[in-house]
Amino acid sequence: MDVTPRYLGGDSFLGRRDPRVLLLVPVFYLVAVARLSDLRVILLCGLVALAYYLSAGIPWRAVRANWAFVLTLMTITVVVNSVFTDALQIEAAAEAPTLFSMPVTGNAVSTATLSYSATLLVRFVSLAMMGFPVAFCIAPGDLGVTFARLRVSQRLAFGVDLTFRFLPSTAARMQEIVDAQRVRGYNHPRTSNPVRRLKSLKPIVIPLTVNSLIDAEDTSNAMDLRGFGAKHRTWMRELAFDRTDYLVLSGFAALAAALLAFKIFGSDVVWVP
Amino acid sequence: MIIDIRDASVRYRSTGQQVLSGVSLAVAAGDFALVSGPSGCGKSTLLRMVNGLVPHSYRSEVQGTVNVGGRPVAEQTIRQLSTVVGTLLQDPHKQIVGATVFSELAFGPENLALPRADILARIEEVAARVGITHLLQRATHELSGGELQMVAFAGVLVMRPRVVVVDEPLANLDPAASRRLLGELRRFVDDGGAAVVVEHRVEELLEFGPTQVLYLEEGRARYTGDVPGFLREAPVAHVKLPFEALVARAGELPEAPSVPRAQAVSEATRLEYRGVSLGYGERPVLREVDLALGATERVAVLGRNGAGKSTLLRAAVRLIEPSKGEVLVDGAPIGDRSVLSLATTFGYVFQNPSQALFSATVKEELAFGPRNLGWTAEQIAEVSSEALATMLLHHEPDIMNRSPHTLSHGQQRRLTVALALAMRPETLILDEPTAGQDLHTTTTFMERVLGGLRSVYFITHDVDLAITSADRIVIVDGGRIVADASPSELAHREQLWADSGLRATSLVRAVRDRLQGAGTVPHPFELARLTHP
Repeated sequence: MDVTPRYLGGDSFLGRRDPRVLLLVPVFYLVAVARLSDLRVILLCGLVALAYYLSAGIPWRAVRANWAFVLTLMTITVVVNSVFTDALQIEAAAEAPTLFSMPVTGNAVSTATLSYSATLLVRFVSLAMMGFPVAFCIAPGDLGVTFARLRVSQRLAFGVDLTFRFLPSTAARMQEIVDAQRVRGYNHPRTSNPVRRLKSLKPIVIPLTVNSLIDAEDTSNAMDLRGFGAKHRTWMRELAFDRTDYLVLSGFAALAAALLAFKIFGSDVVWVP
Repeated sequence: MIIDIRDASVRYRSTGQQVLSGVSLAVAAGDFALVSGPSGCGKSTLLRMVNGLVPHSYRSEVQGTVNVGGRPVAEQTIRQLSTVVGTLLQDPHKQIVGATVFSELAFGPENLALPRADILARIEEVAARVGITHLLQRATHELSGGELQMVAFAGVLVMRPRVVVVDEPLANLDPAASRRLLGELRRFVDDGGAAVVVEHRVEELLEFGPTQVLYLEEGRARYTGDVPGFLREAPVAHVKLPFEALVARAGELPEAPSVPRAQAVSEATRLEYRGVSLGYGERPVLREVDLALGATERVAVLGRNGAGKSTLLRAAVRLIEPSKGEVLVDGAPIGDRSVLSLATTFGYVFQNPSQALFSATVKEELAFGPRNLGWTAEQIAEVSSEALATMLLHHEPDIMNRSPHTLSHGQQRRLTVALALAMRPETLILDEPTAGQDLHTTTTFMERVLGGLRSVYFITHDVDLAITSADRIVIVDGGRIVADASPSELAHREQLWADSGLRATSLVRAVRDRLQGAGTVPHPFELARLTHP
């Protein structure tokens, strides 16, 4: 199992940006699209997100499995919550004529239901498009300094950095544990019962937890022994916004402000064709 | 004086255990102190006392004088101490926090808030000094064990400490990598620094010229003084001394422990590799291996870190599948057998016991394997008792109802062998069974293991263990088997040792000089007696 952080978009437009841009832009975008109901507006936002994603230069072949997982999860979430059931209580659905009722659940589906479902899906997918460059266009060693420069506490910043640093070794350790148990007859659980499934993972989860806790304590000691934890610290990696960074940030800040105003003062409702 | 410890005692508050009593150690610039002693004697606590983890991180009561850099440790923070004492841990994986070698080396000086230009200058100087400039831009997770340890050492040196303390540098490294590390440590001392090294394997340390030895037993100093005095007084059953020291003390050597020898009662082949290539993804590890291991043989597998020793033996239980060729067990291809079914042929024991232990009690832990084989409760009870008895754990009070995690590290190691034995295998496969263990623990462990089964294959970096415990040694290097012969035959092939990253120890040289022909090697005590004029 290879979980090494992959740095895929290093030479692209986004790869050349200050890593803080890649962290701040998704936040602006989230503010812009949160609770947005109008499919037409979210589609426009989706186009912006697509342009942003394409500028990251992430090779499709390298991430198609990730996209397959993300799209499947999002589609199931949207369909279950708004088409199969009325978990989201879409108000406009009652005003639009019912097209059909879902079998089993009997949920009435109208054009408003479909419009809102599409809005949700575009929102989720576009958010994923904004998030992928964080995972693949920030050099693994830059995460700590990026968070620190955003005034996140030094310990938390290093916590994020170390998480990525230790992913490969934790995965390797887990593989060792799985192997150590396989030679004693352990097999991955084939039951669909979640409780039984969880219980059968005990031979893996307990050694992994015990080892991880021991490792965490040793690593924490090792960091202290090299002077970690002082109030002031030098970061060898220098970060500086250039003009393009400011332009990108301003553009997304403006988008967030405009859509926030639209949601507060405008007439953002579910679009019924 | 950089380190001035006088009559120091330590008691951990969490366990109430007194771990050190009245220990003294004085280290000045130019000193190279060796601290040795059996597992659990308090060596690690001594290191923690020097670098400040005791009392600052581990809640403990410290009595006596403990001064480092001229000031009491209790009055300094760990951060302040970090500019005086550099600490190199046993496992570099736990020490390295940088994603790249450059960021790893920068980590310490960054914490000291030094100017960037100074940090860069330090990194360049230290990297050139220890020969890792070519690694600076490499990701740390791509490095080999030896490279990783050298990077960890550079990360310590870049803090410009006055003394470096090193915890068991030989436990996880192959001989060539450990020699490189110890050579650099010696150079640091020669340049005006000081070093304190905790290590069981005394002989390997001696050629780097330790200036003093502190030998601990049950938290007390049993010996403090120079190396010649230590070689005269060290307990021979507990410390691996150079062969010449054993010869000099031949008259007082005890009876050699009786390591059971294999009787060649069968010519049958247990495990056979026919043109086998093994690797991980696109990374080849071993190429076109042809090898046959017998059903009654004790085979040691030696080689550098990353040479493919574990990969070779893991293929026997299908933890890795060959990309080419065929593996046969008892004459039949293993493709037809499951990992579980192979567990009744090979009991595979991993290096780290904590990777296997998960149950609330020893009884449950022992039952896990046999239960997976579908055995009855009576059968499980029977094999569990037998396995515990074989590994001499049955005398421990209420052992079956104890949590495996309450056992000592040595007992846990024996328990993991018992877990394998409980599945009634024909052959045991052990991955680094004695790494980091003292001589007495190693001897006792191997006695039990070799007495338990007629056929044992084990991976080790300990050349002397291989020479004295195996009937046959296989050396893996450069993706292939470079040697396969009896210990005595191999000892006579001088060039082989250096070419395959191994070290011809004093015992290897003694075998070469004093024994002729093939076959097994007597215990070093016996050989020393035979050699003594």
